[in-house]
Amino acid sequence: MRILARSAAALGATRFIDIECAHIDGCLYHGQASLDFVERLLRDGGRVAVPTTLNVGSLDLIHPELFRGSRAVEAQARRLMRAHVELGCEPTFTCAPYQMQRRPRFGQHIAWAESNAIVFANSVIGARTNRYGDFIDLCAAITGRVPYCGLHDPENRRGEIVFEVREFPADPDSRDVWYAMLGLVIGQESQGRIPVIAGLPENTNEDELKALGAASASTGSVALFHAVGITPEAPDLDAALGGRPPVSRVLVDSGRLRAARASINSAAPGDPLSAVSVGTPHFSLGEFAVLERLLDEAPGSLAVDFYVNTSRDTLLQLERSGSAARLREKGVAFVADTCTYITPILKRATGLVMTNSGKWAHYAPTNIGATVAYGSLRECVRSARSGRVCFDG
Amino acid sequence: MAELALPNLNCTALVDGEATGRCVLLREPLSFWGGFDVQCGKIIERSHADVGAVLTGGILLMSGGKGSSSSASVLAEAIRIGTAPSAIILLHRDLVVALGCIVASELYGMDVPVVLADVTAWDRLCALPPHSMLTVRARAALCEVLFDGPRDRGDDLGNRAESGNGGLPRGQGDHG
Repeated sequence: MRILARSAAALGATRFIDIECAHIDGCLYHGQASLDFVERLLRDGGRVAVPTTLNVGSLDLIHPELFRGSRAVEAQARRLMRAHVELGCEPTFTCAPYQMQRRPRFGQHIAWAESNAIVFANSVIGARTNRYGDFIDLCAAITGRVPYCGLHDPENRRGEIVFEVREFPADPDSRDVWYAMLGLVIGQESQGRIPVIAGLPENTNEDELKALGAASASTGSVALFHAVGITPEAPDLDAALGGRPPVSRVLVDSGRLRAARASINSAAPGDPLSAVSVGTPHFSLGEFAVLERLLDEAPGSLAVDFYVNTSRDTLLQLERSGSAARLREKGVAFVADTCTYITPILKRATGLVMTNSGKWAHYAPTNIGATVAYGSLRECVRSARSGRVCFDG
Repeated sequence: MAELALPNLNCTALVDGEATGRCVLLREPLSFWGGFDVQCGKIIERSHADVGAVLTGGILLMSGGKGSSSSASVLAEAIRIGTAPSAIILLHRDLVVALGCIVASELYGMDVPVVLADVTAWDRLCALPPHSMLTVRARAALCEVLFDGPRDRGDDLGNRAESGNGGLPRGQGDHG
């Protein structure tokens, strides 16, 4: 509570409000400080007061053999994940808690960490959370309260900067990349202002909004966006802006999106590929269905490792439906509880790794030293078959 | 060198503490997680305008944070092992940055003050000669920033040096 009070002071908040649930991003091992904090709470008898989900850890506890880092780090990382469960958190270990069956509802106050989950909860669900991070998320879960300020206050949820999207590609099978690229641009251009996006296809789905939000929260500090006609607080442009004129407008045409793509793609067609990694944020059941269809469309074996990051909850559902077995047979390797860009899992991370994730493409080069080939899920599948980078058209 | 208080500098203390160091001005926000190497105290995000800058011991002038909420843990760990900045001055309130410092203070008693500057104060701090020595005193929401004068040229190694430069100034701060 003292940390929470000091945080409230740092935020300039004068009162606290109750929260419905929390999502904790403290399971990723960043060093001794991560563990010291949780052990201290455990020693003091700490226990979470609201339903609390956990973000990814540094290990895949379902497939521990995938970890290729040091034994000492593995032991510390395992202890960190375990200690959170001892505090009463649910062992969900996913960066996409919004894909769980029980998820927050519109208007609820929550304390979520993990930048992509925060932007999804605020934007797509319309729940209310600030950008909580390591430490305060757990303090909020234990006390069941957060300082009342920022995005908890509807006054601060109005859009401020309008992104007018023109010529957005319509083909549902290859447009995944353009949502992510739009996210990268919005993150770079928003400068701390709440973005309003006008001009997206009406049939934009949650997976696409997930990709957009995750990318925008990687290149900027976006915690909330409004997509006109799509997200719940933006039935029209005027509502998204709260009846005020925008501070500025940015035009995003196809040239701008292509330039963003060129900036994160380091591959040319025909370059040899080391691996494919998708599912950052964690793959949903809907995305697995698309992947299975794409794999079926052109039967044959995969020439390189094909990793899909997902939650243990989604994986369990895939196991039950038989889809997991079919995907494994086709060459898909599941990674649960963690993600390939934060921990040593890839067998060959040194060469070109292909992804459709803007977030992965942004972080993987520094985190694991991979060079990124960037393409749609369909292009990832095509490239994995030939072992060489293929782009459509 | 004589301390010169920067007159009428409007700053608020977000996290208490006192530190002295050379100022390190970042041209854009930084995500400590994924963008900062805890072991060597350096910016490693390849697309960052200040990639290669060493933050250890410096008074970090950064408009705000960005990216992952894991940055708080990385910052706390950096404070623990002594590779963190000795103070952080922000233009935009950032809880992730503040928390890394609050937790290091609670767990280890190591205080790295975090200060919020208003636009005028920020512009004046940014206009100081590169690598100026600053003292930050932040206590109970009050804050003082003292200008100790510019660094001698001899010490003035670029804070955007390429990796591998072993001669960078380190550890000016007093966060031990």
